[in-house]
Amino acid sequence: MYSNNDRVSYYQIINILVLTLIGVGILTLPRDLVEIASTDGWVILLGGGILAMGIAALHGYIVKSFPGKGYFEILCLTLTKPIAYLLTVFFIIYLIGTNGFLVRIFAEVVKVMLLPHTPIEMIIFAMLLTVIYLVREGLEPLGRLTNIIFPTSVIIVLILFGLTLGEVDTSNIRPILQTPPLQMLKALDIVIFSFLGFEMLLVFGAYIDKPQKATRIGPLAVGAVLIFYLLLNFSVLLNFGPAQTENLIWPTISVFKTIDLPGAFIENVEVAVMAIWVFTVFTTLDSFFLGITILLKDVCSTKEHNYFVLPVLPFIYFISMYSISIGDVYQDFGIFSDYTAYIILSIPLLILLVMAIKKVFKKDGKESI
Amino acid sequence: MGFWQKLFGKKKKITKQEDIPPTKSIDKNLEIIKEFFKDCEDIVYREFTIGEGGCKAAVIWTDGLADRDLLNEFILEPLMMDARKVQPGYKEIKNNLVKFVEEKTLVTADIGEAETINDAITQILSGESALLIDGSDKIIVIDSRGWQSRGISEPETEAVVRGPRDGFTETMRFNTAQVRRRIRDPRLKLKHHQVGERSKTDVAVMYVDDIVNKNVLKEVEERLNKIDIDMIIDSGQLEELIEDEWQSLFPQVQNTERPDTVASALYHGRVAILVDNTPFVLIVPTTFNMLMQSAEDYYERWDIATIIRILRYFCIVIAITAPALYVGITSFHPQMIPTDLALALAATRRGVPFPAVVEALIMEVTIEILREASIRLPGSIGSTIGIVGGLVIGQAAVEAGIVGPLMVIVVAITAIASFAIPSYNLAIAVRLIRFGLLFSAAAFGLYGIMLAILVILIHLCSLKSFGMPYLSPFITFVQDSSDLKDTVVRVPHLAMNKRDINAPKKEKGRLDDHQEEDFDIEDNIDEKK
Repeated sequence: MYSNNDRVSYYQIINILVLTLIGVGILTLPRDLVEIASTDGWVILLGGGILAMGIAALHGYIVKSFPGKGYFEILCLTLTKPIAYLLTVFFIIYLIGTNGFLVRIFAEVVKVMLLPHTPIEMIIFAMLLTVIYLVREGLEPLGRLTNIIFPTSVIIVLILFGLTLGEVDTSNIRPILQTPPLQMLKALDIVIFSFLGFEMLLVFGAYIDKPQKATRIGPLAVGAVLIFYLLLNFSVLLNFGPAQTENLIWPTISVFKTIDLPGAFIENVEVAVMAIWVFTVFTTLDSFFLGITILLKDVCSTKEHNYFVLPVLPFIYFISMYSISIGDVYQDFGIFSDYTAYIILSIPLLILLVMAIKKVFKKDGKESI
Repeated sequence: MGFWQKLFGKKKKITKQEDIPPTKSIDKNLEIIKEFFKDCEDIVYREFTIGEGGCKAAVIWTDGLADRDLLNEFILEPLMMDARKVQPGYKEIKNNLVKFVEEKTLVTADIGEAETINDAITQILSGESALLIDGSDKIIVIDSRGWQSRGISEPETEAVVRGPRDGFTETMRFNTAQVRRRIRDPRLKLKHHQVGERSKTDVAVMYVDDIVNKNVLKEVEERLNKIDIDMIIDSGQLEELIEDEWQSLFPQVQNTERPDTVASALYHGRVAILVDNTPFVLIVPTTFNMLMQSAEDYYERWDIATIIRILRYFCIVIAITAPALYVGITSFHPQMIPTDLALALAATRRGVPFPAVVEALIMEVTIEILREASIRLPGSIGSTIGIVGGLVIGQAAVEAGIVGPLMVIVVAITAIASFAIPSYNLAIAVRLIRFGLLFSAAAFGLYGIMLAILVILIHLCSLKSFGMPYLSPFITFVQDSSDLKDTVVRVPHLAMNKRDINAPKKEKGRLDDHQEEDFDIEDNIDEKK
């Protein structure tokens, strides 16, 4: 289908999904959790994560039911063609918007952490250029790239987490279960949003070499991310406690700043953290961007996806420059997500519903004969 | 003689010249051949009569390519002298003279027949001799190749402390023999091709039949047949014509001068392509990991080899990133390094009038010039120039205040590190990439370095060598972790019980008698799935 005969293995798609899920959300997640539920953030995280695993499994089930079919084709088969066009275009808009905001947040962080004097446009542009280089190469190189990045990051991240636990106050994570359950339920959506990205499974589903295993992919990926988030949440809380966490802009980076390696050549390990983070955000951006081009390819029924790479670029750049300050970015992103993400998450449910109805009708038809 | 038929079976596809069948008249044939060899004064025609009152015959060969002693003693003498002395006489065997000559008179090891005059001409130019006999429309081709060639000597580009010292030479037949000597297995196959419409260079494809990856083999044959070019002088040209991505900086085909490397590659299911007139043999498919290995890794103790390999990977990281890191840290992130060091660094750079990137460029370009110059210089002067260039220029540059002393150290370490990369073609790619990283570090600091590394990684991930992903064992280790045994680490030979990634899955087991169950179980699981 592509020049790089795209087929990703079962393991590669899990790696892609894990790295897609972990994006810019991790920077603020511990703060969000503390704001909602103080020290009980992990309970919500666990609940939301398990729920997200369930939803991801449903996505996988759809992929399994339509082996080798792309998102657009699945929609065509279940929800008729006009609706399929509408929803796919909506999905594309959602991905373009998300990509734009993500790259902006990313650039803001890079500007603060690494390049205070460089114009943000240049940071965004350099990143997007790197992203489109991989998008043009297709899905298979992305799979291979994640195969390298994922294990390396896991090892380094685990070491870093270990190091953050050097001087901690265990009283910071107490008291447990003080938040009323209703408040926790209300906060579930924020947590599920932080797991967004697994919907890419539907887009990449057509390229998995063993679609029969697809149901396991989503839960495994989300589960891995859940473990990572839990570790992160505990690490931040243990180090700072709820009161301090609430006042940090990016608690995740702050927690790694606490690492002190006596006698090491590198003064602060932020750079290692930044490097891994740049890599994970890169894969997030890339898989979203690739999703856009693959969907566009399906909608326009062309053979190659790389024609769409450059035309999409200005839109993403425009959205990334839309908001004025970092505060606005988060606000606008929140509004954008509210308008789009619910619909995106409900599309699979709709597909499942139609599948179920069709099944019932089929059975009825058989019995009547 | 299947060898020659194969050779010319392929040739028919390439050649556009019309084939001329030989006629029964020797004069006519000679006329046609002489027309072809007009103004070729190194072609020798020896006309004579066979036996007593026999028919006319002629031997044609290229002077210098054919073995003159062999021609005199074993072709001309039996035909001219001995034929006269012994029975049967010419008249009795007149009707099957050619058969008689072929079977009973010519006492050389290898003879054949050329179907057309064009064939015969190519053979003559390859060093064979053609025997024409009047009244027969057959041209007998006698293997008389024997030219002066360099003896087997130690490969200079891939010297080892321990290990075999023989290297390939310019004659392909010697090279195939050197490989064959190491693989006494009838399953080692050798197929001939001819590449180049004018040069008609012999190209041999070697592989072990049952462990080779059939897809790779098919791909090699296809690409070799697709080549449309007038001449091939060195395997480097062939490499460029058959590799996957000619735009890439990274070599996708391994070349070696060492027969032991080729033999080992063949045992692992890879395909070797031997080209006549060059000692460099191509091996495909090639992965990044293979370019980082040296033959000696397998002959030294495994633990030491492992450490050395880790060192080598460390070296390639240094060779790519060191100057870029220097520029990035000094111009963007001095807070990254310990304060004392940062202060010391700033103090040494105090008098330097340039930004760090210009400083780095000056030194890098100088060292590249030195390198290029030292290749051209004769060996004895070369090392002197290296010392003069390296030490004197570096010292003088620091004293003149053009560059900081740390920069000289960084550049020197970088240069040395790039020499530690075992394959030269990877090392030169790294040399060029270093400059790219330097510029991106100058523009974006560490962020630029990260993006540049990402770009390199993306490129490496999208590369394939004959269908094999370039970063192979590192990106497929989840499926089969045994491939990692021969990468950054080199596990003991006892533990290396599987062939590497090139071999098809069924043929992965190496030490069949010892560890049979090990891989059988795995295969069964796969089949069940």
